[in-house]
Amino acid sequence: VSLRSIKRKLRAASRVSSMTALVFVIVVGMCAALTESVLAAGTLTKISWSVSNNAAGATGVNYSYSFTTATSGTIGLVVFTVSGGTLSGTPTIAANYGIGAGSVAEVGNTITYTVTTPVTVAAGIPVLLEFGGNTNMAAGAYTTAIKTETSAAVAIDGPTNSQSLTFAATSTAETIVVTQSLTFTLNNTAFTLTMDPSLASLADQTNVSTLTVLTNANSGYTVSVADNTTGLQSSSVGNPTIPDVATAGTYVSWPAAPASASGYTVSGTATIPTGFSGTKYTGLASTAQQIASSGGPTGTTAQSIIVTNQVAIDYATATGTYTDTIVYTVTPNYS
Amino acid sequence: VDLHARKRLAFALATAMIAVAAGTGAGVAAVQAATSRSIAVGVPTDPVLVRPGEASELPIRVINPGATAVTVMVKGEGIRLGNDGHVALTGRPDPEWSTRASFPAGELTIQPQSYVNVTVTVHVPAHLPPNLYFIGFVVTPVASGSGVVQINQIASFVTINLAGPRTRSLTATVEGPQGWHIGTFVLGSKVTGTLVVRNTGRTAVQFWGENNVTSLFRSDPVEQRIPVSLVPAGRYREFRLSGAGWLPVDIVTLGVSVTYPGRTAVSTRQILITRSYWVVAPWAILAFLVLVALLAAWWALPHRQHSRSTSRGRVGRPATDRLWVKSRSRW
Repeated sequence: VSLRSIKRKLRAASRVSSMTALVFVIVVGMCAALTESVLAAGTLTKISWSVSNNAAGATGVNYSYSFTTATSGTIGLVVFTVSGGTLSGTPTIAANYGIGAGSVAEVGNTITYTVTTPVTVAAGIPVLLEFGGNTNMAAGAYTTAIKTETSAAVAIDGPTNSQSLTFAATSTAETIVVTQSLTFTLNNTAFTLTMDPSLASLADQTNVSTLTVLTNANSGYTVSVADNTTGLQSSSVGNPTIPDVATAGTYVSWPAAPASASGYTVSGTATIPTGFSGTKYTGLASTAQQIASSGGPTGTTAQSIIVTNQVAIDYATATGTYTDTIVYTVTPNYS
Repeated sequence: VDLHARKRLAFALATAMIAVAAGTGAGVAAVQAATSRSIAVGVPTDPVLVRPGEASELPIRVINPGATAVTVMVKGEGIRLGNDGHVALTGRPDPEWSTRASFPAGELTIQPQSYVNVTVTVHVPAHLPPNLYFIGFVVTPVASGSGVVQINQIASFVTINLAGPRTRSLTATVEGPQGWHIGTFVLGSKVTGTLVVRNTGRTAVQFWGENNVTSLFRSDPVEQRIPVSLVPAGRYREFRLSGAGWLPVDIVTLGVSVTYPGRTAVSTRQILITRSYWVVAPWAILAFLVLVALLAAWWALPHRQHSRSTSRGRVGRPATDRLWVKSRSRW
C-alpha cells in the first residue's frame, strides 16, 4: 500500500464525510425550517364569539367571530371548529371585515371560510366574520377554536379557543337598558280659598296638596318649594299682601285667631325636615326651600309629601283676590 | 246602535249633573281644587361619552303617566352639585353650557300615557379638559287654573364624559365610632362609623369600595359594599359603616377599601383604612357584674356562717371573737 493510495483514500473519505455532513446540515436545516414554520403559527388575540340568539335549537342565528391576526400570512382559509357539537343549518356570509370576500361551508362541527382571492394579511389586523343561517346546538356550553391557514391548509395562526358560550333551553340573552327615571305627581294644580273674616271657619282655611315621587335614582331625590317674590298678593289698589306666618326656614305654631298670615306645613312618607314636626308652619319664599328628600330609590311604592297650605285673615286684611304661584321642584340626586 | 248611543249620552248627562251638584256643595266648603298632573323624566343612567370639538346628542325622555294631556317646556338651567348627591338649581342658565346646549324651543304637549323623546344637542368646546360635566335642565308644566297656582316641575341633568386622561384625587377617612364609647371601646353589640370620601382634585371621580368586617373570633369577613358613586370636585360623600361582634365581647375590625381610576381608566388607585374596636355588649357587663357578685357572695357566705357558729359557741367571750374575725379579715 503506497503512501499515495492512502492519501487518495483519505481524500475520498474526507469528500464523503463532507458530503455527508453537508447533507446532514441540509436535512437538519430543512427539518428545523419546517419545525420553525410549524411553530411559527401564532396565537390569535382578542377572540370573541357572539350569537344573535342563544336559545338551544334556534334557527337563523347569526354567529359573529372577531379576532386579531398574530402572524403575517396569505390567509386562504379560516377554520372555525365548535367544541363538542354538530352544526346544522346553511350558513351565509353576513359580514367580513379585515379579510377578503369568500365563501362558507359547514361540515360536522366545522365552519370553513374560504377567501376567494387570498392576499397577505399583516399581523395585528382585526378581522370580523359573521355567518347567518345557523341552527344552534343543544343546550350546553361551547367554545370555538379558530385558525387561519393558507390555501394549501398550512397553519398561519391558531387554533385559538374563544370564550365559552352557553346555549340555554329556556333563556335568551338580553340587554336591558333602564334609564334613570323620576315621576312627580301633584294632585291639584290650583286652588281657591273663598274667605270671610266674620266666621272662624271661613277666616282660617287650608288646602291640602299631595305630591308623590317615584324614582329609581340610586341616591334618591330632593323636593323643594318656592313661590313668587311677593307671596300672596292682590291686584287691588295698593297691591296688598297676606304676610308669611314666619320667615322661610323658621318653624312656628299656627297663630290663634284673629290673624292675617299664610304658611304651610309638610308631612308624608318621604323624609321631611324636622322643623315641621308637631305641625309647625313656615312661610314660602322665592328662594327654594327643601321640604322632602330620600336617600335612595323609592321602589314601587310612591313616597308622598303632603303639603298643607293655610291662610288666616281678619278684618285688617284688605278685600280682593290674592294669587300666588307655588312651584314644587324635584331633583334626582347624583349617584 | 242608536239606542246604545242614547243610553251612553243619558248616563254622561246624569254624571255631569251630579258633578255640578257636588261642585255647588264644594263651594260651601270654600275650597276649589283643580285636576292632578303627573310628569316623569328619564335620562341616561351612565355618563354619555363625548369628544372635544364635536357635537353630541343627549337623549331625554319626557313622559306623561297621567290620564290627561300635559303641556311642558324644557329649558336648560344651571345646577349646583352639593355633598352626598344633592343637586340644586342655580335659578339661572348655566354659564358654561347655555350657549352650547340646544334644547327644544316652545311647548311640548304629551298625550296621556305617552312620551316625547327630546334630543339635546351639545357642542363640546375643543379646549375643554377631560372630565365629567353635568348639563342641567328643567321640565316645567305650563300653569293651568286660577287662584293659587301650583306647578310640579322636574329638574334633572345629563352627565357627559369628556374622554381622556385626567388627574383624580380622593381622600378617605373613617369617622367614629358613634354611640356610647370611650376611645376604641364601644358599648354595644356592634360598632358604627362613617366613611367620608372627599374629592381633593379638580375632576369628578367615580369610586367604589367595600368594608370587610372581621373580628377576633371570626376571621371570614362580612362584606359591606360601597356602590359605584360619584363625587364632584371639592365635594364629599358619606357612607355608614357597621360591624357586629361575633361574641358579646369581641374586637371588631373594619377594613375599608376605596377604589377609583387612576389617570386613565385602565389603572386604579386604592385607599385602605383599618380600624379596630373593642365591642362589649351591655348585658355582658351586667352578666359579669352579677357573676362577680355571686362569687363574692359565695366567698363571703361560708365565713359568715362560720363566724356566726363560732360566736354562738363562744358566748361570754366577745373580745376573742372580735379578734378572730379581725384576723380572718386580714387573711
